[in-house]
This record gives sequence, structure tokens and C-alpha cells, in this order.
Amino acid sequence: MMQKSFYAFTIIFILQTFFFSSESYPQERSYIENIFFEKTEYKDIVSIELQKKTEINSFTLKNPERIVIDVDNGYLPSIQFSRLVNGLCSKEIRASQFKKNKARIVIDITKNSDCIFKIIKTQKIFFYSVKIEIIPNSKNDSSEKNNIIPGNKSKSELHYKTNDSVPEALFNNETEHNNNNFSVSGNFFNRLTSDIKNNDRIENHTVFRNRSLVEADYKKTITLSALSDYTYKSPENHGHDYDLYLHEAYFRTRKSFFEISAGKQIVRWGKTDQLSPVDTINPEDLRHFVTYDYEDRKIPIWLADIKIYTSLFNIEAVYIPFFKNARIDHFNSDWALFPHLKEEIKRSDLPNTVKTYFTNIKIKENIPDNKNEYGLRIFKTLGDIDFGMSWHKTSQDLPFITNFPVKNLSVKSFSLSEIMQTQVISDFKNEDIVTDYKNADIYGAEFETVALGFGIRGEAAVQNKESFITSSLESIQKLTSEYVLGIDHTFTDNIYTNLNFVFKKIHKYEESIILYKKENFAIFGELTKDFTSNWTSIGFDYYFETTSASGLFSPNITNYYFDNINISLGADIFFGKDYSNMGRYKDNNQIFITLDFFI
Amino acid sequence: MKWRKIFFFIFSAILIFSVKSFTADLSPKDIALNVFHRDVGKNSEAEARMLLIDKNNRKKARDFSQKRVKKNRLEKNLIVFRSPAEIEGTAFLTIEKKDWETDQFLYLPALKRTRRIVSSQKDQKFVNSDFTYEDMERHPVDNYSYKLLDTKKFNNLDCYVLESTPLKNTDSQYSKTVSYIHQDSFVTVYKKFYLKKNKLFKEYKVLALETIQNIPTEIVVSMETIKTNHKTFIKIDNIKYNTNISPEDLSREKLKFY
Repeated sequence: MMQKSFYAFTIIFILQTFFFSSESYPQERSYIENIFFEKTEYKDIVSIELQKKTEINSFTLKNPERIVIDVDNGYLPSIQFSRLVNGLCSKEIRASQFKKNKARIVIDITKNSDCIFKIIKTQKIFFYSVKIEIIPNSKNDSSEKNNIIPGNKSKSELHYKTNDSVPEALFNNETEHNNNNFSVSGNFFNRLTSDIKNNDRIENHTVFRNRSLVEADYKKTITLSALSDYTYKSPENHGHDYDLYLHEAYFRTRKSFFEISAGKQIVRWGKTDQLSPVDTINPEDLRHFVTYDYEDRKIPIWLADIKIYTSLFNIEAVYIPFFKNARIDHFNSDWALFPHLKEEIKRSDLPNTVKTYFTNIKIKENIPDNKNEYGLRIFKTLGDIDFGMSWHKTSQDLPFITNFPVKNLSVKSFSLSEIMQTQVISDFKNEDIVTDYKNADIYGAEFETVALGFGIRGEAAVQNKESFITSSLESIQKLTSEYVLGIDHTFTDNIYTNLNFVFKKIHKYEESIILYKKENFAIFGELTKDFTSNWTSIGFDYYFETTSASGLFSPNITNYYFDNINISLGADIFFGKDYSNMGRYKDNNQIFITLDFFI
Repeated sequence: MKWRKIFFFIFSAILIFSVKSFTADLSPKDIALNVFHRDVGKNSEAEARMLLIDKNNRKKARDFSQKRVKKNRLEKNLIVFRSPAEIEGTAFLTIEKKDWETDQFLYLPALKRTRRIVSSQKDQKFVNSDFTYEDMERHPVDNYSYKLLDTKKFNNLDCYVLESTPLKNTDSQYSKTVSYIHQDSFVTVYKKFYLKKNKLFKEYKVLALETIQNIPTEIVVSMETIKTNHKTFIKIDNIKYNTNISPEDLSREKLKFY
């Protein structure tokens, strides 16, 4: 009995497997199981695999030109099918269940292409094959060669493709995938600033700057870029400052454990954002103080940079053959070292001798001819922590004032009123302001990691001879140590915050040093939130020195609605006492609008 | 007795050759394992276009290239943006680690440096798309519990309908997901993402699926955030599997060369 039951069960199982499984279709239907497209050098081939042999009818239609293949008793699964193809003649293949007992495949033909087509039907072991060969008339004679285009040998089997609201823009190749070895890009940055308040003093109420950078790149190995930099200042010092120069020009390559880059370039050391005491390789353009982002202030310099990667640690050596100082204005700018001093004196009630004296005063910069620099950096990742240590034998980028022509000064800032206070003519020496660029050693340490959802990074730097300006408006050098610790985090709803703490200590501090205390503590960072489908962001950048209660707040709103165009509106609000590092610029509080355009 | 042997032979042969009979016996976790371990080649390279569409039908396109390589079962994944120009050259590298955490690095050409970024912020949108960092990561099978809800067809493909619920200690922004998994290829062709209280949050669809170099490949996919009606489409072009990329090629130090 058991045996009979077993046999019955087995027979039923076999019958069910062969005849009643989900793969068993009604006799009259022939399922369209696959549709392929293949492009050869001489023809397009559309292959249709049918479950079994059935009647095929074909014809052509115009407006738009297309080949129509009707499969009698053909059954296409419930979805529609379409595929854009880039054939010699064909541009799209579509299929649908035209009628209950008829499936229709339509091959859209490129407009005005002169093509013929033929249908080859073959019974294969497991399916019935229908091939439609579409041949451009110009290549008809050679169609029998049937050469496959190199690289297209592997045939793609299409499981399915729906028309399920796939936007056409997904297929627009306006921006072709850039497989070229050579590329050109550009950035055109425009910024218009206007002072918030008329301070009834000599100043630039309106400043416009256009910074246009065009860069050519070959295989990410050779980079060349040119920078056009135009600034217009009004109403004072109606200047049309214009520079056009080679920005970057370098070669770089990586072979196995060895990487080298040489030329005019920017090399970034350190990990922290916006204020990086370890990042001492490139000087900064400070002609607009810190109202531009840190990376936009960097000036490329000629150098060679070699990195060697080993299993123990990685080593980087940098050699800088020529000295390059930071860019600062000494006079005639709101952000200059002595902003509008000359003009203020010229328009003052001071005796003519004093006016003449200051009008003729000059800056004598002793720029060293041959002060090369070098640096060494060791870096390594241990677990989740990246760290590095560095040493930079440098010539300082900022000037050391060796001589100021007004003697016996005791000021807290660079303002005219202070300079003229209690001064007598005998203190005015017929000399220039003399500046020099001193050597220094900078020892640095850096780290970066992530923990508990926060990015954490920090730097420490010790500089043996950092220059500071004293109350006599001449400089002295001091040993300094500076530490920066930064954290960042992105909260839900795209709120990004970046908070940094900086502590700077001047060792063997002298009370004559202006703008800095013995110990200086500040917090800085940014808070950003994206709105309206992430096409608008509101940001708040801040720098606050607790020691001097001075700082800079920069609220801003940026719109990214248009591709490659960023429009920002914001303000730079300085505050604090006149003799503080930030407060001295509070008369320059400004609103700005920027238009940043990329190609 | 002889007949019994013949029947046994036939029966065994049917079991062996009938994929359907075999796969029907898969446990929910087995299905998840098959999804996780499905063959996607030892490496791959592709070009892609991402299209973001908001509820007002405003569109933004981004083109990028992608490289992926697997070593000791762990993946490295590199995405380098080619357009628009404002983000060209931005590179995003993800490196899986043994504990299934990931190291993530972002190279920003303007900053000239590679920045280590927080990988645990899984709920953050990837370049403002509807895909979050969590959506783009592989998820270890043992971090979820599974329930086979049904078998259904999706775009005429026979699919398992698999519910995955993160275990208590699993960090996930979703309360559960329901995946339609193609029974033959183990490709997830449709997936629903739920927040707490079973609120449907997002829908993922494979809109075009091709087999390339014998590997089923999602050619066009979409992700829609239901609440905001914001959609992201990704179309893959020129994908090549099993190329000569080595794991060493995808490193943080080399991001500037891509």
C-alpha cells in the first residue's frame, strides 16, 4: 500500500513539474522571452527569442520611420518594453501586447537613414529565434562580413526595461562621460561688496572683484591654470587692480610606493578647516583679509613634493626653491596694513611738512633673492586615526617690520589718531618702512578621526620665531605654540555644524606686542542648513576670540538652483575693540553678493 | 524493487535539476544570504548618470564614474563626479572593514586634500539624492531578522517578498524594509523602506535589468521619497566586470588622480 502511494505521489509530482508548473503556458501562446540588440560594423541586429515557433509579419511605417514586427499568438509579459539604442540605423526598440493574441515589436529608425532590413527565422533547441537585420544601404554590399565591433563582443541579455516614468533627461548625453585624457574647466567668481555703514572716514564703500580661473588638465598628471584677478574699489583709491598670471603649472605621477609632483602648485598639510597652523607651505592672499575662504586665499608656489609610501609609515619631503611672500596691501585699501593712512594725513589739519613726509613714505621690502625652504612630514594611519608630524624650515610669509619711520611710538593699533598722538616732529625720521622676511622652524602634529558620529581633527604647531608687531610698529620674534581642535557633525535634516577651538600661546610674552595677548583663545566654525530640496542653504560662519571679545560673524544664504551657478548673499560683521585682531576692521562691515560660475 | 530505484532516480534528478523546487526551500535568511553573496564580479567599472527630480519636476543631473573592487570579501567603492563642473573631480571612497563598519573619504579638489568623513551618519543623503549612505552600503545578513512574506511577480519576474527588520543593536534609519528579490538572480528589483509605525518612507525600483558578462545588472534604478515626492534616478553605462583594477588602485592617496 505504501509502495503504491509512493509511486502515485511520484508520478503526480513528475506530471505536476512538467505540465502544471508556473512555466507551463497555454498552447496557443508563444512567450517573448528575450529581446536583444547588437550593433556590428555593418548592421544592427535585433534578436527576438520566442518560446516556440509562430507566425511573424513585418512592415514599415513612416512619420516616424519604423519597422514593425507582429508576432501572432505572441505574448509579452504585462509590462511594456522600450530600450534606447545607438545603432547604425536604429534608435529605439519598443514592444507591447498589441492585441490579445498579438505582440508588436517596433524598431524606430533614425530619421532620413537609408536602411534595408531582413528577417531571419531559426528554430533553436530551446526557443524560436527571429533576427531582424537592419543594414544601411551604403554598407549593404559588405553585410556578409558580419564583423563585431571590438569591445562589443559580449552580448547583453535584457531581462526587462520599463517605461515606468523614466525621465528622458536620464538619457540625454549633454554632458558626455568624460573619458578624454584632456579636460578644460573654469571658475568665474564675482563678488560685489558694499559697506553697511558710512563711517564718515576714508574708506572703500564698494569693491568689486572678478577672479577667473581657467584650468587645463591632462590625465590628472599635468595641470596648467591661469588666473585673471580684477579688483575695482570705490570711492577712494579708484583702483583697477588687475593681474593675469600663471596660477598652477605642475606635473605629478604615482608609481607603486612613490609619488612626485613638481611645479607651481598648492600643497596642503594639516587637517583642520579654515585655520591650520600646520599648513605652512603656501602663502596666502590677504588683500581682502579673511573675508574669502581659506582655500581661495592660497597662493601656488614653485616646489617639488615627493611622497614615499611604506608599510611602516609614509614620508613626504617638500623643497621650495624660491621665496614667495603673502600678498597684503600696505596702503590704500580697507584691509591694508596701514589702510588709508596716507590719504587721511593728506586731508588732515596736520602741518604740511608732516603731510609731505607721510605722502613720500615708502615700504622697502627686503625680499630675499634665494631663500629656499624645505619640509619633512611623516604620516600614517593607525586604526581609525590618521596622524602626521611635520617640520618646515621656512621663511615667514608675513613681513617683519624692522624699521618704522616714526619713533617713540606706543600704539595699540595702526590708526592715524594713535600714531599722531603725542608725537613731535622730531620723531619723524626721513626713513622708509623697512620689512624683512625672517626664517623660522615650524614643528607640527596633526590628526583626524571619526568617533560617535563626529569628525574629529586637530593640529598643534610650535614655531620658534613667529613675528609680532609691537606698539612701536616694529616687529619682534617669539616662540609660539598653537593648538586647534575641530569637530563636525551633520544632524538630521541636513544641518551641518563645524566647531573648532584654537589656543595660541606666545612664550616670553612682552607687553609691547599688539593685537595678541599672551594666551589667546578663540572658537570658530560654521553652521549650515540646506533648504528647498537642497538648492538653497543658509549658513553662519563665525570666529570669536574670547580673549579680546572680538570676532567676525558671516551669515549667508546661497542658492544652487542652476547647475554650475552659485549665488550668495551675505554679510561680514566684524566686532570688538579697535586694538583687537578682528575689531580693527569693524568699520569695514559689509554686505556682499557673489556669483560663482563654473564651466 | 527495480521500478522503485528508477522512480527514486527520476525523483532525485528532478530535485537536482529543478531550480524552482530547490529555491522554494530556501529559508528567509538563505534568501538574504544569496542576495548578499550574489556574484557581482571581483570588480567593476562603470559610468553613470544620476538625475534628481523634485516635486515641481525640476531636474538636476550628475554624472559620475564608479569603480568597485572586492578583496577578502570586503569591498572598496569609489565614485568620482564628472559633472556638473562645480563638483567635477570630487571623489568619494568607501572601504569596508572586517567589523562591517566603513571608512569613508572625500576628496575635494578645491581643498586639495582628502578628508575622512563620518560613516555612521547613515541617514544622510548622498549628494542630495534620495539615496542615503545606508542605502549605498552592503548590510551584513546577521544584523537583520527576515520573514518571507510572499512570492509575487514584479515586472514579470518571479520574486520573493522578503521583510528585513534590523536587530536591536543594528544602527538603521529604517524600522523595516520589504524587498522583492528576483528568484533566479537574487537581485532586489523593488524595495520599500519603512520608518517607525510602518510608515512607508521610500521606494526603490529597478527599472531596467540586464545581464552583462553573465552578471545581472541594474541598469536603471529609481528611489522615491514618498513624503517629499522627490525622486532620484540612476542609469549605468558601459559597465565592465572583472577588469584589471586592483584593490590597491582604490586608495585615499590616489583619489586626486581620478
